[in-house]
Amino acid sequence: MTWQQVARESGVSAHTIQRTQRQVRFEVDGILALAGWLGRPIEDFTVDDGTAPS
Amino acid sequence: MEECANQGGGAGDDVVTSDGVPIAGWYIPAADGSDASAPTVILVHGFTSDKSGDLPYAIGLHEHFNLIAFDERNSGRSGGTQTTAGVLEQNDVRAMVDWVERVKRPDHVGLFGVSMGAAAVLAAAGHDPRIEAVALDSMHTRIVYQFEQRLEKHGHPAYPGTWATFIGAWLRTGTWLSGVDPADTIAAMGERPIMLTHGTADDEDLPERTQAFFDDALAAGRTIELHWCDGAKHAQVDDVCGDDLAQWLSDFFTRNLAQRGTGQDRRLRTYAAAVRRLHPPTLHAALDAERRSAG
Repeated sequence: MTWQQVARESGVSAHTIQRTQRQVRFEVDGILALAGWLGRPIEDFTVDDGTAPS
Repeated sequence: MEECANQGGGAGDDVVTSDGVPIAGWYIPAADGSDASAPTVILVHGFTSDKSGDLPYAIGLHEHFNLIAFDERNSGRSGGTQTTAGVLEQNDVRAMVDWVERVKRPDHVGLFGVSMGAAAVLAAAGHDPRIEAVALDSMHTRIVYQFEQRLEKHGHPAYPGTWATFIGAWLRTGTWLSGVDPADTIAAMGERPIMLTHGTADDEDLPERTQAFFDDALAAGRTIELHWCDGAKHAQVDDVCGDDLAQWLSDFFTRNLAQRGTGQDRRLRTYAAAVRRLHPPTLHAALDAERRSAG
């Protein structure tokens, strides 16, 4: 599956998806949509103390 | 409000902590007739007290907030045989939050704690985004300081007695009592609002330590306020400054719970907070893995 297909299925722009490679700020709805596409809670991708989630 | 002669029945199985302790409590609907979705404040008592001891703190809140007063483990009608300065009591707080979220479904939840109860509140709230605001009265900053003061106040040298107390508690309960020191647990509160109240004559949890705790929190960017009660000793703010305390609590929780939006707004804020803590490379790796597995 290409990134363009991921964008179409999730409803999030390919540009936003590519930005997830970097530590930048995101809109809530886009991140919720991507987590929803993966079928996982957003907390799976958050940190409490600066360390990456396990 | 005064002590209740009847503490009610023993704890049933509606509220049981993650480590198996049954918890007894009272759900007290707001006097203004608000329904269960109205903001709810859970009151957490101090060492050797019970849920009756929470009632003086309810005076400023009872009109517009649904309240919960409960017995921490090893007190009142709850189960358990050990008291651990908040280390295990945080489980009791969490169990009450779970219950009210499951059964009453309030739009907003805040916590209030006194002394040991305040330490338990801060420990429980830190990693629980359902808790939107906490008020903390007569709280120690580090439990070791309180033990030092108590020993010296009774004419004993602070050491080795302080360490003997820690080791004795560890042998008896399996917990290290400084495990939920507020000076450490406050970091997990992030930007959520915190209110401190403290007596200027507190000779167990010294005012200068509370002032330093507040100053450090402010410098770290916390949303925190501090109110002093002139002349109050430890956990006597409600006695000495009862009217002021009622107003402080009412104003704080009105600002930070009642004037916030609906449950939907709350969920959006919770999501927004999660996105602020996002680790994008982890999300990207998961997306990439899913994309590749989809072929």
